[in-house]
Amino acid sequence: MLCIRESNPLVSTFLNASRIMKSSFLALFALFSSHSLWAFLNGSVPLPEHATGIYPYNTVGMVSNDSGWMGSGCAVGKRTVLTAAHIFYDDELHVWNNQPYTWNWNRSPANSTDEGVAARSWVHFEDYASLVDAADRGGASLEPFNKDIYILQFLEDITTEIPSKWTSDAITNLDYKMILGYPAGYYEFWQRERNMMHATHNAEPVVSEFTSMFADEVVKQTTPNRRLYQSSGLRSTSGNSGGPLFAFINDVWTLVGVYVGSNGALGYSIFVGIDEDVKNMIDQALAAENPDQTIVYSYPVYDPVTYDLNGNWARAQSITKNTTHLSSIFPAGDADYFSLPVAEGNQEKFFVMSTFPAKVQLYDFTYTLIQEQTLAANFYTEFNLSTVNGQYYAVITANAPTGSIGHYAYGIIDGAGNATHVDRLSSTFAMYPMPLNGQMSASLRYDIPNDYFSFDVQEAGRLIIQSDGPLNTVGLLGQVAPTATLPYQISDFTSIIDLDADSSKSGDFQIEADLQPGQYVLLTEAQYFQERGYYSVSSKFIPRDLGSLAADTDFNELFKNADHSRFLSYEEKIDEVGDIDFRSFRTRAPGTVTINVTSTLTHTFELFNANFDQFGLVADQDVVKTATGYTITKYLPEGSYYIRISAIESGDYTIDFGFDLVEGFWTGFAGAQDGEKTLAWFGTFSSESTKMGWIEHNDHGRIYVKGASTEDFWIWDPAIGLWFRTSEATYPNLLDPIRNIIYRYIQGTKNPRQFENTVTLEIINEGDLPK
Amino acid sequence: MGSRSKSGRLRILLGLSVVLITGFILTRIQKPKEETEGTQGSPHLGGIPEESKTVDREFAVSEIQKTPAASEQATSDITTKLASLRSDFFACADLKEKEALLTALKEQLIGAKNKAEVISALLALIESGENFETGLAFRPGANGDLRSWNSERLFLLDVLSLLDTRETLRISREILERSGGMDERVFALKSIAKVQGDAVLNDEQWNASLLDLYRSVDRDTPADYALLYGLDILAFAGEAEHLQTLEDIANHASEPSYVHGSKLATTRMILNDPRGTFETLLNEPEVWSSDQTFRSSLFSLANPSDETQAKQVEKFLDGSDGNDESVDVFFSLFPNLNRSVSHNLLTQQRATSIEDAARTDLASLELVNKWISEKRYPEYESQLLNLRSKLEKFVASAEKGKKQRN
Repeated sequence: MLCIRESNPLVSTFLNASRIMKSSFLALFALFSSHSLWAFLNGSVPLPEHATGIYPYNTVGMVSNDSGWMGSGCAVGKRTVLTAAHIFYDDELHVWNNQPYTWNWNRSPANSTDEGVAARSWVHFEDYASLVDAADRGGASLEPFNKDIYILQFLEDITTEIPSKWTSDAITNLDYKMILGYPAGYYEFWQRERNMMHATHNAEPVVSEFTSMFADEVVKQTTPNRRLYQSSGLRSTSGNSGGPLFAFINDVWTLVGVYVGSNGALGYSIFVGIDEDVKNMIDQALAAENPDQTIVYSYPVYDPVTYDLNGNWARAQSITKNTTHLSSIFPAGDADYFSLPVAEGNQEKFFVMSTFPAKVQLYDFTYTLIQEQTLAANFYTEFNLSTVNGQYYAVITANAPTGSIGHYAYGIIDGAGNATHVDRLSSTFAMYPMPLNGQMSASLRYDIPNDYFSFDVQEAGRLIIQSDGPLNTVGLLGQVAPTATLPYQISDFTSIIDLDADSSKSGDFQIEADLQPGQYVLLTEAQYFQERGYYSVSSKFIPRDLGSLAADTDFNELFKNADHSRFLSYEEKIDEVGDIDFRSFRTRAPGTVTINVTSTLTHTFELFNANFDQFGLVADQDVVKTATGYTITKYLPEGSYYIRISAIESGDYTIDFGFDLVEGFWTGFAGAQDGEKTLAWFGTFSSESTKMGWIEHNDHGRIYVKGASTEDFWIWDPAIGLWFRTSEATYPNLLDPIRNIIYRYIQGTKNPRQFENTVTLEIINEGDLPK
Repeated sequence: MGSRSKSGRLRILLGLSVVLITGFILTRIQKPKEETEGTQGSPHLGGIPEESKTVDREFAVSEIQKTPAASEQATSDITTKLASLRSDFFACADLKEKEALLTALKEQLIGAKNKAEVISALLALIESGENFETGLAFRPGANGDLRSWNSERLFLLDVLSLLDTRETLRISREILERSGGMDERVFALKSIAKVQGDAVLNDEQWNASLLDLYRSVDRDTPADYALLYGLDILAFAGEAEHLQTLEDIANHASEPSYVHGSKLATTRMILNDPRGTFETLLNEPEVWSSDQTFRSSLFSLANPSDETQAKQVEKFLDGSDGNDESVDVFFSLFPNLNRSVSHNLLTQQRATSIEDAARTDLASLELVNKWISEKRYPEYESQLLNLRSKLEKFVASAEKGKKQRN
């Protein structure tokens, strides 16, 4: 992707040397092509746009020319950019490119034009033996790579911020390090990431002397390597070439080297370290821009409480509810602080999910420690917040030695809900602890084609997992050998319970499995990298521990005969002790469900919310023992439910479901709920609580009423086959919402009823209403 | 010069005992302990009595440091250890380690307090005529001395050149007189020039030796590092004959490294003495006529803020053929402020200051505007318009930069 076209061929004294130098570079980059595409980005992640305004990110830019992007660079002076030499070599003309090179500072998707500041001149290493260094050893000497440094000089300021701090001979120090740059080469022109600065981090970024690109026994190099270094912990990709390698030295991000390439096959990045020679070169350039040394820069000391590694605020000034925030702990002894206000009347949860072991402490508004959790790596935890306190504070610290630090996610969600929404936490393969009932969003990437979700199933039950893509996504649920390490291979699975290969190509997959207690892993994989992206995984778990269901009980059978829309009355039988019956029902409006069980048996009842995202036992079930059996009365929101019935002895019983009409509908009505009623505005009708919203109206016949109050409710008229919307104030006017026509029911008409179109004034018999 | 026995050489080296051994040993003990221990049992220590292999080197160093005037016993120990360390050097396969060994030793020798002893010992070793190849390349470091030495003698000469100018000059002339090895001749030429400065250009022996060295180069054999880096001496000398010699090397060498080196030296000759070199190029059009494109690119290095160079550029264009596409290179680069830098034996390159760049660009723009208004080079009209456009941007950029600083 180093596609460089230069219209002004520079025919310099360096032509031949450059060719050989380039051939050596090509030898290096040829190694790239042998490696899988997936590893190319190697952990480089796009930075949030605002981060590019923060030191040291604001010292990094993209270097380009008329032909487009070329590489990355770092401002070491207000008018001096340090970058890599090889990106300025013309592949076709075999010469060093001449200007104009353009420096695009603070490049971002919002600022992605190629217009920037044009460089005036360049400085780079070239000596009398440059050619023999390469040619004499078949282009395999390290010396050309030692010289892979380039300085661009400008006549005007190229940044409004301070330039990068830099130092020599510090690249091998065990400081935390990161690569910054624009790996535009990976992306297509239309992808916004192409114009986003990327950071490459690693928890243990050991950078060591580069030793072994060529086997010594084959190539008897006579030139000791002097400034070339490698790191397998920090890997990057094309386009980052020329980008700075920063080390965190004495609390200041300090440039210590320049990224010049990667060997994907061998899994490391290569840097030119700033040694005495490079230092002299930079010094010269800085002296050229600032001859009197009148400009002295004061570099910002990194405040770990203020910024995280990605330039995000580490101290969360505000947390958007139901949004997942990403942050990171650095250094290991750092603590991130969160202010967690809870609005009056709210019940909320503060959640934290981390790839590294951490300690999470929750304080109340008096700064008294309420809870403290010390958690192992890859945890998910929640803290309940209530208005009892109104204000909480949380502190997160890395509970690990230096190096074992990294990203974590946090956020606030509704305390009443149990959904979790978590983005990918890191750029490496990671295991996400998944709630049994909840939701996570994640992303599959070109370089990370798999996600892993762990389910801790502590009781027997049915796990249902749904995903919404991305396209061609495969989901596999199974159990993995304890000794296996990420990324898991298929051979690591000791059992494969279910596999959905997304035959519809929609990206959706669903896995259902009856599970015994244990640890299960869901592997997702996008089969084609072009189709990777964000997706969500939802799970619900139907426990079976309340009774003693046989292990082979089929839940589908239990639901099979359920009728969701009618009055329900069943004669049932507990065939034997331990037998469990299930009945499902669905309510079409909020209201009170009454379940009468006529039985002489000693029953146990559990009422479950069957709505996907609210699965679980319904709280505070009111089971009353009556003379003939049991009565369960419960106000339920609209939705699906099921009741689980068992008994300590066998025998017959009858179960009847009744449904009280919508709350508020009867306001002002004096009379019994069951039986005939009359409302002045609505007329006479009869209803029964067991009929779940169906009424017999004197004019309209059998209709279904849905709505929370008389101020706005719906009528389903089966004889006409239409839904109407109306209210106490507007009746007998009825809105057909599909066709947006308001009819006036001509009261008193019957068989057929007549309606007036309130616009055309046409009188229409009920059978002729348009549908 | 006569040759001494090995034991005799080692006795001479005793004069360097404290500094030499401290240097070597300090270098060795900087290695990780396990590596040091591993070496103790290696065959590289052949010649050391078995019981000596357990000697704690750190202890040995401390003993040496406590005894500036080494006792007979200490001398014996030092001799033994020096032998082992020399063995280590020869047996060491790692070039970087070898280079580090010599670098540390050089630092120790230069920093030694007893300089007279060190110089005496260096001279004795140099004059012994004995030598060994290090396996390293001849490479200049900062300030023109060496950072990598292809032979022991060159290492000793390099150290001596930093300690005793008079003796260095004397030995350098001896080397030139007897037409020693090419690496030593290069080093001798450099050393004399370093001491005498521009006056060396009037030194007949020096000039003759320089030209003789490069006219006799076998340009078809693999390039020699010393000869390549020695091209910088021609760049330093800068006379017409030196310029011609560089072109000859380039024209007649089948080894491309010499072509590259000669062109680089020519460029640096211009940067070192632009007026003089341009004058030579103008007066002797056959020089570098073999590569007109390169010749044209050289004039792009001219600085028009210097009136003489401005006139030289005009003279170059006046004499050019309007149909010669090689002149396009001049227009695409002029005024060329790009610089390559490296460690050289004599010349130094520096980045152009912003003030100088702005001055150069402004003078270039004025010159180009004059050419356009006078229609002096109608055959280059389009090139001049493009050049003017480029220069206007540079000047505007410099103006903006000036305001930013104010």
